[in-house]
Amino acid sequence: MEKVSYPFAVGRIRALEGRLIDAGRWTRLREASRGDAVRLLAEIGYGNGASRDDPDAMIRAEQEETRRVIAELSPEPVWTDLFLLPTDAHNLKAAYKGRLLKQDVSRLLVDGGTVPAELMRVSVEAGEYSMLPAAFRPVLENAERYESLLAFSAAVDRAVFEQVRLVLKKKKNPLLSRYFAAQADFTNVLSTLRAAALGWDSEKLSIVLLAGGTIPAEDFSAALASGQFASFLCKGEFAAPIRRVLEDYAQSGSLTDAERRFTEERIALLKDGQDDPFSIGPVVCYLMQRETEARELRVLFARKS
Amino acid sequence: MTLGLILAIIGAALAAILPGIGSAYGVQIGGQAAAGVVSEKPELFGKLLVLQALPGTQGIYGFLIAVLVMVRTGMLTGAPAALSTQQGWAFFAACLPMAVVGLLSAISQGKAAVAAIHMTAKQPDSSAKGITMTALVETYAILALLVSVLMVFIGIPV
Repeated sequence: MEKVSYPFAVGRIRALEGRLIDAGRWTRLREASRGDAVRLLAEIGYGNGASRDDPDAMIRAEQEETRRVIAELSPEPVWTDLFLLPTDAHNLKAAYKGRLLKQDVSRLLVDGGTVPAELMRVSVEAGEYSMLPAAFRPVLENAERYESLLAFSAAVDRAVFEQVRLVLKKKKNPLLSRYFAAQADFTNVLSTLRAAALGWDSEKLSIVLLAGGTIPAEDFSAALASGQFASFLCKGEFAAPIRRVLEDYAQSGSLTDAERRFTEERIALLKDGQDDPFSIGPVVCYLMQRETEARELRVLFARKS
Repeated sequence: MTLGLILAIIGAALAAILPGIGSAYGVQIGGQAAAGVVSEKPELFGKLLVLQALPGTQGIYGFLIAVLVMVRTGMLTGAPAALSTQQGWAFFAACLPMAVVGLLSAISQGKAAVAAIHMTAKQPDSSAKGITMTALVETYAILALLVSVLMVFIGIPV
């Protein structure tokens, strides 16, 4: 297939950016009742034709369409696939749970990963992993060794970052290397906050920590033991954004808000490459903006339920 | 055929070839960007066509200089002048401003056109601003064209 050029892909992205929900529409969505909010979304063409009675179906359809478009227009799928791996990870976890519990999990699977959702389910059920991304195979081959679903889930998340590391080692991209290092740091800090809230010990926390960040691993257990998050975790290349989020967390105590803030900080890092029409920056930035939009819509509708 | 005439022909050829390459590249990337936008917003085709076409002018300027050299050296009449080596080098040098600046400015203008096309995709009303910004790159191609024209017509006695 002919390779898509960057000017074409970014041109299409710039046209699609007009479909992002802007500040004014967010205000109206927040003020509207659940029914009015759904109608407002439908009016702006959100939902890719999904049932207007079910906002979750609309969000899901829109997300799947966005991922399909990104896969279709990406000039270098090797980069954009890195952002679709979390969808693979979600499908893999769901398929594995389905295999363990002997249940049909088809409705939990989402399309738009690097591997079709149905292929993921069939591969996991059949124990045939050759069609899956390389980093997932050892996790599945050793799945019985994990003591809990949490340990399996953490191993899948680590496999995502291992796949990212393998790709970025083969093909350099400073923007994405920085982004994924930040994501590892932010996810680990969030895991530490969550572990403290749930009363976990350092051993349990270490199961969910990801490699590839810039904060030394021992600082997470020290932060958990002391409760002094800012002292131990405001380190590494992304100390400034981590400090901003931890200061807000100290005020609000809301993990949901901290997660949202970390996502905003991650997207802010990607925006460094958003204006270069000859790079992958605008494409992945758009994808992340749509993913964040979907997450915030879910939160909005959950509050309205 | 003298060495001088051969040098003049090489100069004319470079004046046609290099800006032509630059313009082809500039129009190509502009076309790719415009196609990406039009695939989602077909109504913007008219506005984007102007932006895509702007980097094409350098190729025309280069062609013009090549024709002028051919006219001045009598190549079009079928009886080319017996240019001295010095005259040949002078024609060669006269072609260089258009050849070099035409190549580089067409590529730069193509990139400016891509940025303007992307801006128009987000804000269709700002297409005129995009055209103005892209057209500013043209200034340097026009200056190079003037220098080449003056040298070919006035600066070199034949």
